[in-house]
Amino acid sequence: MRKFLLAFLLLCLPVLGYADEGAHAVAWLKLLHYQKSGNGYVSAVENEEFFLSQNGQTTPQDEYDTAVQAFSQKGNTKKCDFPARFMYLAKLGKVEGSLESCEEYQKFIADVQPKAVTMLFTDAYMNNPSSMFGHTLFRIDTKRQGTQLLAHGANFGADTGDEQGPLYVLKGLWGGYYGRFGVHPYYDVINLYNNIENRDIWEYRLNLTDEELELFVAHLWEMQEAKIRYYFASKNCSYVLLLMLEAIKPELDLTSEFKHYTVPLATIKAINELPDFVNDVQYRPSRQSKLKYRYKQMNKEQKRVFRKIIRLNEVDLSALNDEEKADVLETAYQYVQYQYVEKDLELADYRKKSFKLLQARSKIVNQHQYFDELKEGKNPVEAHKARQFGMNFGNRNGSAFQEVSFKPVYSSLLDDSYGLLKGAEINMVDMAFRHYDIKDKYVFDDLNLLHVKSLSGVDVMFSPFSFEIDIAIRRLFNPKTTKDYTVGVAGVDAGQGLALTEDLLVYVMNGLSATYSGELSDNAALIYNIKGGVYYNHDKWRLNFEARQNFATSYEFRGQTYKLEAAYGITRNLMLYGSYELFNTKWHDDETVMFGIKVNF
Amino acid sequence: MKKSLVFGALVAASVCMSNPAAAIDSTGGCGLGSMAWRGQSGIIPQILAITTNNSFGTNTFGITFGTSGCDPNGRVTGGTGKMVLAVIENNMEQFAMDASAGKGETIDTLAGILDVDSEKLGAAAQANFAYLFTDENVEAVDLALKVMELANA
Repeated sequence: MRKFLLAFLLLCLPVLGYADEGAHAVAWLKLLHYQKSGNGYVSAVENEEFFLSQNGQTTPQDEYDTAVQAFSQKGNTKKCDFPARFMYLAKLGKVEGSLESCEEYQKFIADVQPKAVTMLFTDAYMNNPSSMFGHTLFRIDTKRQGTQLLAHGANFGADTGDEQGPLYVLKGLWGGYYGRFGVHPYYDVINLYNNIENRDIWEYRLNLTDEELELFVAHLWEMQEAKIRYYFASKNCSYVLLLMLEAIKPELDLTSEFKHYTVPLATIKAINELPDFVNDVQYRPSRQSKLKYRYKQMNKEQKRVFRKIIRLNEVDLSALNDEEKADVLETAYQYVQYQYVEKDLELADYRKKSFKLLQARSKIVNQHQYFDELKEGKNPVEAHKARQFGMNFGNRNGSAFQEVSFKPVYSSLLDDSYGLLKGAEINMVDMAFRHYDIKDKYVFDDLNLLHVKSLSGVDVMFSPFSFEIDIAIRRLFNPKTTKDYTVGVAGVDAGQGLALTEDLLVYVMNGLSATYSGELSDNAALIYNIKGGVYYNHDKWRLNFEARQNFATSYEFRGQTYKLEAAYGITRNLMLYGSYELFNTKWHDDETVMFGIKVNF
Repeated sequence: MKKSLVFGALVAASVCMSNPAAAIDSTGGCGLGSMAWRGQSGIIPQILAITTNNSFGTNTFGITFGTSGCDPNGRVTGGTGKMVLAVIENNMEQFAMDASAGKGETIDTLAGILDVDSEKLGAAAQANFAYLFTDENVEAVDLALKVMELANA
């Protein structure tokens, strides 16, 4: 009997505890985004409008007591500003009444007509440094008759004004900006990401109870006025979205994993790993993705007619049947839209061309939209894991070595590109150490602070730039003394690539870099380089060959570099890797060959 | 904290900001850059059938985005007519495409708002494409009225 009682008590304790914890219940702390700070708490939200109590930001108890008091007062409308707090306290029986009299809030509910919450991931956009890691936002799905075009996106973004350049980056890194939530119709979200920035959107619908959904919408209402310090790398949009989810589902712990840095895709993976939390996944390809797909689907004759339309503005469809015609016209129309967004077309010309193509399309009586056929994509959640550990064995100028390498984020050209942008590389704080048999100690080899490389091929429709950004500290070879020295490098390259097939790309680039080393006769040097390369990426096989000619103010850097890297993926997160590199100079050469494995985890 | 600072210092590429030039993030302003792409007439349309207090300029044929910033709340709101106009005016180039193909997401959306069969509305839009889009300078308000007329036919 005693045992039974004890068991009964133990079972009940958590429940009793929850109700009795008051202001220090996890649910209350998370609803106001309190985080532990020393012995007390501080909320991530900084503006006083977000709190009922003057000490609200740092004192959960004061905020709790003030809320209970205010919500209990007759005629006090504070509950309309903080409906989620009211709902929480009402559920605990601390306050009574309803939110029915809250006009503005009820109007919000009536506009939004919430049915579910969907997490959106927009994939990387290499041409804007602030978008290289992708972006996440919410969508409040609507019950409205029709489609989710009438839903609303809820986006957490930094208020940066018009600032740009280094100040923008620095301020962003150290929390110089505030982030806020903005709510917009979903069609605006689609237009921005799919049609203007040409980024695919992935929609992950969350499995929430009715009560959680109601609380989410109420909390979003409160959060529209909240100002949260925005840190580009850590407390960014994706992090705050996780805070929102924890606020309505306090039993979740999503944020602790992302205290130091938050990569948007990693947060999407995290919610997908929760059991039964994501119950539907939809793919909404960008205009560019659809254009590429359509062109690939066309037969030879269609392609010829299509090229004639977009290059010469000659619409001669006589060689095609009705279905083929409709397909070509729709695709050409969308290409004109693309050109206009890219400012390759004047407004008047754009309108005329658009109109002509659609007039012709409408005459083919066939209720089908070919341009909308692309529905399947490679889910980024399935992409390889971001952290990578490598172990290599090699030989450098006759001396055997072992190398270990580690990179915390994100992906390189030799990694499996499934679910990611092919030809895009973003690595940060990627480091390697070597042990040379003759020296018998581990030596630092290189530290890539930031390495970005974007290879995209010019094709029939698109002519993107290819570029590379390199900021690193490296051990390099002095061709006269054959000794290594440590050098800091910062460089930028730009050029263009040509897509020979979907998997094969050749490119040329040229660029400038500056170096600094205390160990050289000239501490600082400038290097200009021209390089050509081949990049092949077909599923398991990835290969990159590059030949580079350096012109430099210091002799140490003069010469040609040839580098071949190859990888074979055993699984998406495990690959065999090999590389060969030759630095060919007037004096001594530096030659390295290396084999090993890389594991993502 | 140390770790995050190291990272912070290195992320020359900032994470997941929206393009600051794009309207979606901006709290102020109405349509911002998109204004250049809207009709030049600039008259606030006083069309009897439709309350257009979220329509700032008349939208002629062209891509628009972020124009809902004109509504102080930036939300999908209002009665049937207002919603039909909002959808058409903010998705003009997609609607034109869908009308010519007789099918598409904007047709499904409008059919939902107007509570009519989407396939029928699509067929009517395709058959009456020349009526809807008389020339390339068609305006959103005219278009909205004509769509409602087709839906009721």
